Amino acid sequence: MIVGAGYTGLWTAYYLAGADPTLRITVLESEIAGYGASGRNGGWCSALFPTSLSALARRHGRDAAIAMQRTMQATVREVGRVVAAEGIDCDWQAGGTVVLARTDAQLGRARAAVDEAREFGFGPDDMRLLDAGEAAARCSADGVRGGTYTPHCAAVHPARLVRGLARAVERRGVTIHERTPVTAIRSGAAVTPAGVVRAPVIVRATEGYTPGLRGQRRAVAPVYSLMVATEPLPAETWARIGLAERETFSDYRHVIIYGQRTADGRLAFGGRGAPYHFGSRVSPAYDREPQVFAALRRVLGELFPVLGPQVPVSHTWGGPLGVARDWSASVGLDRSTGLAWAGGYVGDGVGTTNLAGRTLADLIRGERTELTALPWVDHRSPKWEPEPLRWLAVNAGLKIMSSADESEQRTRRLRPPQDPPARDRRADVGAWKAAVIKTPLFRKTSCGVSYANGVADYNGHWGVNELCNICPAKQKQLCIDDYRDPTEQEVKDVLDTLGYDSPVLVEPGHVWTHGLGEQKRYAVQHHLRHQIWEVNQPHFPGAHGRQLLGHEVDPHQAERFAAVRAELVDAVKYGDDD
Amino acid sequence: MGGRAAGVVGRRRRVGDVVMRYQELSYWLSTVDEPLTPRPPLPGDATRTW
Repeated sequence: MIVGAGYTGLWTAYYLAGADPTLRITVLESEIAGYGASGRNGGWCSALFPTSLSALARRHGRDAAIAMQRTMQATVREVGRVVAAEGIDCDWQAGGTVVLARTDAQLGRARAAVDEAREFGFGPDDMRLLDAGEAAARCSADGVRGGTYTPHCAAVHPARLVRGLARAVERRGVTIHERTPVTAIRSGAAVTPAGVVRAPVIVRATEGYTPGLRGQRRAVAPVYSLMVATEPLPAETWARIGLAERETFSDYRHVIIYGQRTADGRLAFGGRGAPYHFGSRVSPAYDREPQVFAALRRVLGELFPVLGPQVPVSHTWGGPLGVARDWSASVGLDRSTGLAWAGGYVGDGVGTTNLAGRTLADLIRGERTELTALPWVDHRSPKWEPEPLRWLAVNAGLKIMSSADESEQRTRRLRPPQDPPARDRRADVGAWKAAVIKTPLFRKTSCGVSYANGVADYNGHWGVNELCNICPAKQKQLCIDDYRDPTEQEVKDVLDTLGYDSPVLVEPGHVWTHGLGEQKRYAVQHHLRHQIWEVNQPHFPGAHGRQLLGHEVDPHQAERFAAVRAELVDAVKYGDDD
Repeated sequence: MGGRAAGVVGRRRRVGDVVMRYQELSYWLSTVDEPLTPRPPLPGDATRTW
């Protein structure tokens, strides 16, 4: 029994039925196949995995991280193979992805992305740095200064893929019941208005709609991503924009944007930034946020001035994607209950769902394979906090990212020499490399001391790219091997020991606190050997250390956080059922 | 107009409305090459075991 006829459920059914045609498989879907994110996403079948290589390596080791990434790359090819084999007409074109850099800060992130790939043994065939000319040749957005290119992505018409997959699944003997909502899942049973359906294995493949299942409200947070599509653009416009191979495209800003050239000559373009809704609520009304559509249209016009002052948008839409508390996708089967799951793709699901489906097919059939040994298998993400902390955590993250982008954008326009990553490169790393000095360079005294003593950093600096990016690989490995996220209880124990009081939110790589002040915060950080952050002084990726040297203070940030706090006060009035 | 005939027309309208609603969910769903008429739901009269 599979609950959900999106990519996850259908890929699972496809491979399960293919591996064992004698199995009796039924898919229950509350609306129609492809109703959720599968029918509304950006159409990137990519090797993107929501957890970075470095984060995977910290948790599971370098080899596991590499295996995960290589498998994701192979997954893109596997989807292409099935599309061809099943004759699914979904405008598949494996043109790769170009990610643009339009500011110094974004260029820094492009270089860091390539550096990270190289550190893990991925070569130019997997990702390469583009200079301004190379990037513009692929995607001639305004002010392009460089970027990266990876071939591991295909543009696809996502709804045709999911609808074609549903037909392929039926050809393999699987039954799909649409308009059949499941309200609860428990061991051996799924509850529907038509009655209780029993099966030895039940797969939860509901992603952004998971909080609607009884008892699952805190399993996944539904975060909205919205999209626009233009009218078909004339050939002369495309001649100026590029994307000749239908490369999917994005840029290195913090808030995720994504686009593709559709087979019928439109730009389909989307982005995060819509608010998370209190209580993990999902509603068709949230699919349409006029301010977000206006922002997408504005960004599209900034990227491609050739579209003119009135970007010709013909379609707007959106929908929820699923985010686990630790922002980690996972797949698994609990043999004791027969309950299986996959999800938490954070929007990178077009490819990842295929891997989930193949993995679930192996798990359900009791096969131990290379896929079932991957690090995301049987990973248990913690539950999200009860409201209002959940609301605070999700929306604070979204606001921090958008604030950083706005700050960088203003910096680019007004004070380009003030960009700190560029200055860092000129001032130390660049000069150091140019001097061919073999002595290691460190940003923090404790890092140098740790290196000299052959131990992992003892002051909790590991994990901040702007601190660690110049450390020797040997030292990084020591820190990777030593790293683990503290539990919430461990943080609270340290706070109790020191006599401090603060709310606590543990996220991968750092712990949010509030009101401790810098000295107390450092004391906690040194006790835990882990990054301790203040919610009002977040780390802006690209900034050097805790100080925002060279970054203009965003005048809107204080206002935004005041709004967060104000809404938090209102939010406590709303109950949470789990 | 007889009640029965009116009921049939009404049901057709409802199915049409549902299909239209699905088409409006995204540009992509508005351009699939098949009608979005829902497949039959699970029959509502029995508890089932697979």
